Amino acid sequence: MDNQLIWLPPTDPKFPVEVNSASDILPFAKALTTKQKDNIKVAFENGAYDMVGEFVWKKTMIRLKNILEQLGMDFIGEMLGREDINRFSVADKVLTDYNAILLAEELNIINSTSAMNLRHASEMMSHYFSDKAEGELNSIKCLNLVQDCIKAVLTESEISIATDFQNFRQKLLKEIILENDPALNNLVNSSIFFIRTSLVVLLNAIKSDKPSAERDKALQNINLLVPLVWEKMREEERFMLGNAYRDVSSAGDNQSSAGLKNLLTKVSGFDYVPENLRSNTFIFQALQLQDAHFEFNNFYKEPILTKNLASLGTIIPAPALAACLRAYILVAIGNRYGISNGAYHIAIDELEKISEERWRYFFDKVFFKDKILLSEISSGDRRTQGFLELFQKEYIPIFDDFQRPFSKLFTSIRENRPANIADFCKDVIRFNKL
Amino acid sequence: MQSETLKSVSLKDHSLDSIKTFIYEQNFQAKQILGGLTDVLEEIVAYKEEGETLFPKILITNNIDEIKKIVANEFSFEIAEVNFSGDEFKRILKKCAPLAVNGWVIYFEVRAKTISYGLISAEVNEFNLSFDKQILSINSEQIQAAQTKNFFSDKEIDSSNKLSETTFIYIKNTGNRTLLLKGLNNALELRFSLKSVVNNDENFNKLLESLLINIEEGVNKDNFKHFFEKTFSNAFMNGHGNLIGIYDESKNGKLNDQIGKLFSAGIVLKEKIGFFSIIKEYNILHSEEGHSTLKIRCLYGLKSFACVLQGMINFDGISIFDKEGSLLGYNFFIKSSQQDDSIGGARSRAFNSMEKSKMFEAGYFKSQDGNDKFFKL
Repeated sequence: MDNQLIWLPPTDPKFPVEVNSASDILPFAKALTTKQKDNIKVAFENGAYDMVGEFVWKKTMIRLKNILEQLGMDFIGEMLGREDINRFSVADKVLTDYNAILLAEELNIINSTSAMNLRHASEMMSHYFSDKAEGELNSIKCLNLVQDCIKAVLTESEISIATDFQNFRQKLLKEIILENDPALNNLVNSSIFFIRTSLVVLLNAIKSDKPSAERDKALQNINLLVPLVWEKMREEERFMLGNAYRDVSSAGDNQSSAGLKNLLTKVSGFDYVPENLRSNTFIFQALQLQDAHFEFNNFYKEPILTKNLASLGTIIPAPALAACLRAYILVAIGNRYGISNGAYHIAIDELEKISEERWRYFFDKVFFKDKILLSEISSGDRRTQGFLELFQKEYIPIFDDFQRPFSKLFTSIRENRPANIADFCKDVIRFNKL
Repeated sequence: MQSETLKSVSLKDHSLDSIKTFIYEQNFQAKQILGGLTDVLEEIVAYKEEGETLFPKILITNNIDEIKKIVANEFSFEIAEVNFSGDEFKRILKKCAPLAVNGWVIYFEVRAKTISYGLISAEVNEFNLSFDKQILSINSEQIQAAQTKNFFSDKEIDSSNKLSETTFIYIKNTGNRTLLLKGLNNALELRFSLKSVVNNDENFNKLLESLLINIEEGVNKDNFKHFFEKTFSNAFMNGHGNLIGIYDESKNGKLNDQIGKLFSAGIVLKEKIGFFSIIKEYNILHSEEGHSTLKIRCLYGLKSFACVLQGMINFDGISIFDKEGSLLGYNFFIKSSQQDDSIGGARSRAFNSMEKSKMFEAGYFKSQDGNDKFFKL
């Protein structure tokens, strides 16, 4: 196996330093037709910024989702932890803009600067097109949006991630990885999302009805890889493994069941074998709420979805705890424009029911590896303040016995320093290579 | 009058030492459970309830939560907790034995001063790895791996009453008045019979191989094998004796045409039952969204067919399959050859006739007392 197991994100193409009009940037949009570029230019000149923004954003997102679709929707479903997405799903219908950007960044289809810009653009679009917006998109915001979209996604007429990904998949499934393989070292030290990608590819092969020789290779490779990355794996990846063990036993697959049981023995991972199917329902509802939070008209959608999640039961099953707490915290801290008043109190009620032991588990095992929450809290705006208030109002306990560097979070909370909280979260994202 | 000497030979005396040693080897305290365990062993070797023979399987452990972690797809419920008082094992068995069917296993969780008991299973469909299969493959390394602190419990874990170091003894009646005790560290077989019997699955496994000989390797075949394992094992439990034959119509002509020739009588199904196609259909649907109703229908269909298959196998006469494991017919009676001078009951003679006829690809015979035989052409 050669060194080049994982692929690198694209670098930004050379753009003009000063962009004053659409004409400065449109020539770089090779993914748009000449007619489309001309229409954008005309609409811009006529001040139809809403129309320009909406069109360019839509083109960008469709293109991004089509690129992701090349990887196989069942793979995408696994990466997002969504059992309702399978190979027959249509990317544009089932992927939210937020998830598409998240995945594209994780899979190095776009770099992290582009991802950040697209997330801002997504929030802006959701806000300006919602009923809560006061005012319209102006020329500066529109120009920034067009620039960010072109830079991130629309420069190339063809982006083919599929070849790189297929090579990656082939190597994991067709070859047996050796312990001293430099490519293995590369993978072990890569970001959590490449590790997750590898796990998804291997587990899909193990759970499939492929010939036993192929499944055997996948089992050998996963038995080598997982103990090396177990400490790095988040709770979601560990539960993915436990779920797979349950699934292959359910399917009566002796070989895969024995192989995964062997692996769980090595990493003492039996806690991650789910007890029953209830957790799936909780996770599904939590992800629905999370998706809605990042989408258009979220303030109106959140109340009913939060209520649905809360009504599933007072005790959140262990495998669903991370997803549910993330969803409730996102609702409670809102987005850069505000919070959903109808959903806020329901979320707070649920957070107050969580025991101190479960909060301790959450901060010990989940929070500092949760890119979504950390990104939101690192914003430095009302979201960071909202997070701080959750502790000040004693909805979440403050822990004084966490070790450095994570104790810094709680120190900043005690000292009422939102800026420090935001900086700390940024550092954690960098430190954990999230 | 001459005084007579009476020699008393007790099975208990011969086996008690082995049982005690076995208990120690599993890290249980013999003093605590020996009495209860021997009560249970004595009962289940030939357990009858209201005239019906039952085969309850039993798990004795000191920590049911750790066992549950390792067993995939388990579900269970606790019935009660009682104080250790002497004959509670026997009483619990009496309360639970009729419930321990269709994959349910009675568990006893032995604590410092009490026993809690309930039922546990892992039967989620007709071909998944059953609780029985999984518990028989658990080893001490896995138990150690499962003993991590559980952050996740929805309820308070009362560990004050629990004993340290998870261990277990799993007991099942394997037929021929033989009990298998599988522990954390090793296994013990207890035979309550004076016959010399070889009790293993060799012939049964050969039957399964023959039934599946034309099926392609893969998950579908694994599922199919488990399906037959479960269905046949359940059928054999009622202990009347069984005859199974594998017949190749492409080689020996239609089965129907053999009535009056090879067979004096038999019921040929107008349409053979293709269990494999149902399993295959389920596995295809399993990977497709939007077909959950069909998936469920498939599973329930398979369950229903499993029930009727058990009934047919337990009918008098021979049940006949083809080389793809499809059922062609049942209740067949083979004409015995005039040179047949074998001894044994009717089933045994029929089995010999099957072999001599050279018209069967393979044949399997399970006797009432649990012995079995197999032949392959």
